[in-house]
Amino acid sequence: MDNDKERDIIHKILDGDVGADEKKIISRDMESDPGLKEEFVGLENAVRMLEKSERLEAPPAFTTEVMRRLSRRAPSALNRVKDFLFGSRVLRWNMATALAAAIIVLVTIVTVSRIHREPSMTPAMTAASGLSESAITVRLTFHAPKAHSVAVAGEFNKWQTDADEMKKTDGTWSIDLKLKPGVYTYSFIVDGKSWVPDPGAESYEDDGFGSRNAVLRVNI
Amino acid sequence: MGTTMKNDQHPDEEAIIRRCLDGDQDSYSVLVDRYKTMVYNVAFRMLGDGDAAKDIAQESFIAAYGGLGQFRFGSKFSSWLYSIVLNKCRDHLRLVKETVSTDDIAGVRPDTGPSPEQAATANQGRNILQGALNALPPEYREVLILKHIEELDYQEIAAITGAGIPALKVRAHRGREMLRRILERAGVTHG
Repeated sequence: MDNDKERDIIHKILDGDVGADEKKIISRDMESDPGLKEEFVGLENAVRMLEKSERLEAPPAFTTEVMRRLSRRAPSALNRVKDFLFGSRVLRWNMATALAAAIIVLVTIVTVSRIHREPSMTPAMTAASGLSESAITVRLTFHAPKAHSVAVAGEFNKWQTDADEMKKTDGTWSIDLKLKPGVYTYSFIVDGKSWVPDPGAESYEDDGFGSRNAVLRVNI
Repeated sequence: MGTTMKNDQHPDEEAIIRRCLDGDQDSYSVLVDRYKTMVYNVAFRMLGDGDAAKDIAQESFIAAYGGLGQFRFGSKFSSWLYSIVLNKCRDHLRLVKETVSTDDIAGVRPDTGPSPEQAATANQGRNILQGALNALPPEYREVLILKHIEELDYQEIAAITGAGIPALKVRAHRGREMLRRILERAGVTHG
């Protein structure tokens, strides 16, 4: 058979996707062409042999052997790692698990936001958490009704005499300082020349020049 | 065909696969039992040798179990098995570089089945067919097996082999022509 179109139709018949019109064409052509019919019969025979071929049973104990081989076959460490990293996972859940997960997330968010919002309560905790210590407002007062100016100098302002001027109210000078927890020495400077240790200080320390400085302990 | 096997997805298969993924290896025996005939037959028709077919079929099930994590739920497990066993067969054929002369087609016999006396008549047709299949290039052979023995449509064959449908039809066309000529040369004029 030389006609490719007819051959194509024959194979479409064998594939089971030929239309009625094409069937008519090939039937008509086969009637007039014994060679074409012979080829069609030969192909149909080959296909029929395939379709009727015996389905062989799997050898006895096939499943048992597969299962035995499976149990013997421990996965290599590399395969276990690969499976852990790249293997598909099926996530199964129920409402209880979902609620528990939601509660854990909620508690975590609240806890983290509180940590950021509230300062640590003790130096030890602050140091442990690594967060910067928060400053505390400390009010210093000094009763000197006759003084014209009073300032405070200390470790907290590197002993600058004009950095922290105090304000006078009814004969009492006062200033609010924002200091981090710690121990500071300081002194008042009255009228820009007299260094006067705070008479209300808890303790004093020798200043190394024959006088004393007040000691301020800032605790939370 | 002795037994028709339409490999529609069984409703319990996803559950079985999930149990296997959870470590329940014993559940896998259900799938092996269910598909052993299918896998063994494809391997046998591809290789024409009972021992090799058994080994390849078993290896295919073991490989499938090892790769269950990659199985795409929603696709057919049978299609996945087909692709695995065909790959194994291709690898095997590449290794042995099988060369079967068309003159030897009557000499191929599976190692299973009835005794030689009983098989004298019945096996002749089977052996001739298998010998003819062995003489085909593997890419023609696998299309004919999937299309005419396993009765799959071209769409599923395309999914299994990764080849396009037009290419598969060309392979089937050429494979059938070759098969016809081999069978006629062997004196088989009817099925």
